[in-house]
Amino acid sequence: MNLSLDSQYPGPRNGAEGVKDIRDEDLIVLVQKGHRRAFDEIVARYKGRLFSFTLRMVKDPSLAEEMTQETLIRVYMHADKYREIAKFSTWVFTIATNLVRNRMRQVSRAPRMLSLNPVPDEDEHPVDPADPHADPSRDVESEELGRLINEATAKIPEKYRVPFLLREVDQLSYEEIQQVTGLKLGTVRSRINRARNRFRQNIKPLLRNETLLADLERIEARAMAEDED
Amino acid sequence: MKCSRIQEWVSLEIDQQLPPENVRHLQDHLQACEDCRGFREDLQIGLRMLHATDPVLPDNFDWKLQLRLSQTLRETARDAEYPWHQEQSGWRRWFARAGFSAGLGMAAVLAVAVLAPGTVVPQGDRGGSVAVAEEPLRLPVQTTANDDSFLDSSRRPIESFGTFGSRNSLSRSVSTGDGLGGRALSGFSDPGFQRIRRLEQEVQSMQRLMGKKDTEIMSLKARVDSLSGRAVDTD
Repeated sequence: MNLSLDSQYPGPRNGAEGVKDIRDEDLIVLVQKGHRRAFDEIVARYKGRLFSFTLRMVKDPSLAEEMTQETLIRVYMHADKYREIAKFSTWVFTIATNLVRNRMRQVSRAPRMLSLNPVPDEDEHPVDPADPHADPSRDVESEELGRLINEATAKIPEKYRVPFLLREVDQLSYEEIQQVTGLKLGTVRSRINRARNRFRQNIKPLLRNETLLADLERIEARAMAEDED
Repeated sequence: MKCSRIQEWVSLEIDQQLPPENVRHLQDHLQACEDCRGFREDLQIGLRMLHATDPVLPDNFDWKLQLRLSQTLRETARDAEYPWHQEQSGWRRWFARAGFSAGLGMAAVLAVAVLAPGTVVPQGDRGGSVAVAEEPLRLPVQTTANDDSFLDSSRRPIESFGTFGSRNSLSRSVSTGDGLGGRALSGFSDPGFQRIRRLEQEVQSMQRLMGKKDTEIMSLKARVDSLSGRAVDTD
């Protein structure tokens, strides 16, 4: 690589501004050389996308947070193994996807506990796995809509959901999804299409709900105003 | 053209993957087909909802990540410098878990049994009583059986171990419990045995000391990491 990294990089104690314009593939080279701020920048760029992906896969916010951390720790610990034969984002999401799949396999293998007392006590509140209390959405309307969308997404079969979320949430290209999942390009295309069909079926009741549509408008307007600020 | 194919094209169009020659066909079909038009509108609103409700990480995420990464770095450094902390296999793992003291204990028992004069020796000929060996016990290779029988365990009856006595006599002597005392236990007060006990205690105290030093080293390393800027810092 011809890039003079040391001249571009201000050093570990000179603030993160200097790394903002560096592309991911060069940041990871800096991480390999021990520059901590470069890793901070990678964390800042990827943590949201990783959390969004893992949360919509595993549904549990604390588990999703833990898996996001695990992915980023693996990126740091195995930075020296990255070679620029693939995009950095592809490498990161391959790690995340493998972690998520392993976790879901473990969960599906674990024996389910059945309650002998199906009637809950009056003071007992059943825990909804899709409950957004720990899901730090910004306000009530966003929380409600987010919960419903998460439910609709969770109903998509896993094999369709992975390429769908990699495309929609993480905005990976079809070729990158092919590399992450190991599927053929045609399979990636058809699985995304099938996932969208299922997603559309699942959200259809929400589309007739005027309140939710108004919420969507408000959330989008607020996001646009924040971007302008 | 079938609506299922058009809906596939809608998906490709959203991702800007639809070949330009098909875009015109898609537009024509959508103008004519209300179902497919509805499909595209539903999907577009649904995807807007998906993007609008991106979950937000908790504020303390960076702090927790730093903590976990520091911990992982400490563990990695420890494993690199003290490889015996790493997972081992087979008998090495057993010894690592049981500790060096267990090995020493076994050695002590063997040493007492083999070397100490006046060791408890069950003898088959005496019908379950415990007798004192008149001479030091001999190793199996010194038995009256030929050397081949020692190599081949299937052909090696326990009686062939000479002065160790037969399995039956041993079990009898243990079950009856008679004859234990006096000179029979003198091997445990032997100076050699006492020395082994002392050594074992010394090893245990050294292990405790090493544990403390290990902890100190790890905390110092973590401090060095944070001062030299190797750990993730959120400041």
